[in-house]
Amino acid sequence: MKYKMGLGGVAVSVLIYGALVAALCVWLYPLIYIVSSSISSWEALEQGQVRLLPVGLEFSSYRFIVAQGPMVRAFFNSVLYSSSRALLTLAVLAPLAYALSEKKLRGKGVLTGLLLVTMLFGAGMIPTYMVVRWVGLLDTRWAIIIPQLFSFWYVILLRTSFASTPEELKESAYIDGASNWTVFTKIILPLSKPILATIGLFAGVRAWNDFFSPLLYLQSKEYWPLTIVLRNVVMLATFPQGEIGDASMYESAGFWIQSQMAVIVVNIVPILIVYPFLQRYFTKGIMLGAVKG
Amino acid sequence: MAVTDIPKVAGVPKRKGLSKLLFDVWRDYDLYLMILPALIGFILFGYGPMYGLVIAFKDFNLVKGLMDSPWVGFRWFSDFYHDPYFFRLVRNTVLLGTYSLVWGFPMPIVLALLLNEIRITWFKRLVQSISFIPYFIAVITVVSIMWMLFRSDGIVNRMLAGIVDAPVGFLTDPRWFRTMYIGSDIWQYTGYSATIYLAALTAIDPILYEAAIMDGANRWQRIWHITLPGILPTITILLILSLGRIVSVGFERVFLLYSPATYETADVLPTYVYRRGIMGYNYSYATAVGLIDSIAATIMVVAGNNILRRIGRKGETTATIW
Repeated sequence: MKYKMGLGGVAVSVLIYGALVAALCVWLYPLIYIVSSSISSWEALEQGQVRLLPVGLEFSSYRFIVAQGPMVRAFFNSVLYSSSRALLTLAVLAPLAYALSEKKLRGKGVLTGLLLVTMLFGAGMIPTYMVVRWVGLLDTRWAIIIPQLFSFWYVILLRTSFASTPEELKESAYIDGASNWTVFTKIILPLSKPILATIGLFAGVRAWNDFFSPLLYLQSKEYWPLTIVLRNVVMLATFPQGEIGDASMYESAGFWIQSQMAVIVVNIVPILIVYPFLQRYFTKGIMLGAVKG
Repeated sequence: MAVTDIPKVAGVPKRKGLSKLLFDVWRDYDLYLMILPALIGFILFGYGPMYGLVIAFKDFNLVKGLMDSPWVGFRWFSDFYHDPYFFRLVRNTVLLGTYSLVWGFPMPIVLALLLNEIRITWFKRLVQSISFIPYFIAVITVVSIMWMLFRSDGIVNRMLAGIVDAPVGFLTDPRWFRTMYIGSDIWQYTGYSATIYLAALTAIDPILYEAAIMDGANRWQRIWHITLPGILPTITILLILSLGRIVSVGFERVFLLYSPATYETADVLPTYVYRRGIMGYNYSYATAVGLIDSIAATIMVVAGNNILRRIGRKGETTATIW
């Protein structure tokens, strides 16, 4: 759409671009600063010389992190939690969503109402904690996986997508004697790969970022995910003590700062790796859900 | 159609309806089996805690268990009302929620409107992609980054060193807490919400803009008469969803940003629940406090939705959440 702009119009355009470039800097600067600091030399960090780009390359904190047993374990715990939450979310919620998308399901209204209530009203921290405790999940890996699976929001997104499958496809399968389960696994699921990927990724990222559940439910260090370790390292300044790393390292303030920055980077990188996929599917998913619940 | 529709005439079920129902369930038994695992989960982890709310009305202790703990009525609620921190907690929660709504809500709309004026596609896409990244980063990571930037020897204070005398206590001064909280909230979620608005903007017919230009409408008139009305339903939906946030501020962000030094402005209902309940083992008291918060949040969302519905009946174009 082309139209003539007066001098005032040009000035406004410059202002708009200026504002957006400024906003871009606000979003990017903290991320760049953290990455640069994590690979700068200890002296530069101690004296606060790092402003934007790395000063004097030094990768020792990454080597240190990799050599730390507890750190590596936390990383793999996080990987375990997010992958199992992604898979189990789909395994449990997709069949439910399919059943809800079927017109012949009896009691659909009541069931949807029941599930909607869980989305609108959360009983709160303590009662949820008591249930997790009562079920016997407290201080087990399952406490970080199972209680968080049941999000009606995901069910809505899946149901909306499943419901858009052409009726004729299903009908012809029924005529050939297919059961509901067969229709679900052979027709619905293969046609819904994008939405399944979206929900899986979302559930996985949410699990990766989960700080609240491990804080609440986990005592044992061997189950801690990265988020808990990140807090310990940055805010409580307690680095998980491993066998490796000599004492002089702990005495350098620069090394500490560098390690803190590096742990932050380790937390972000996996998110950035899946980010292109997240972004691709996101707009579609959010609009589906926003229209009708 | 639903199970509850079986007629209740004098307690005698209509045979035809019931046997039809049983037949339907038997015929599609696999459909009902598919519901089962999720249903158990929703009942256990969605409704289980709701049942657990009874401990707000009991003097619960772990040894006696839920059943045998004595009833105390509304004692915990009245205790909370007389709690020395009652006023501070309610004030902090409502103010933090209100301020973050007032400052945070217009931001994505502004960003979307700005982006909508951009004709250079790659630049528009770049801004969208970058602004969206923080949404997927953990709250703990965002707070950690702030911690590194704003602590007394952090980069921000080093840059301010020539301007102010002493390092600014961004993370330790109660006067700075709300700014830090709201700032990080805006940094993290503006791009996300803007994407929703931009998606809504694509639904506006370009012909409207072309016609407006033909009629000599300037940029502001086009924004005011075409763009804004076009995204109004989206604005209202997101506003309603955010209303609940006025009383239920994000636990994680406050918990990670606050410290005893900043309790004066930072301590809110959820963090108090955590300290009294999980740390202090006052399960009943903490549940009662949390219940007040949950009810307030739900009322806000439901009331907002009903207001929307009423406006909708008057014929305005709008949308409700359910």
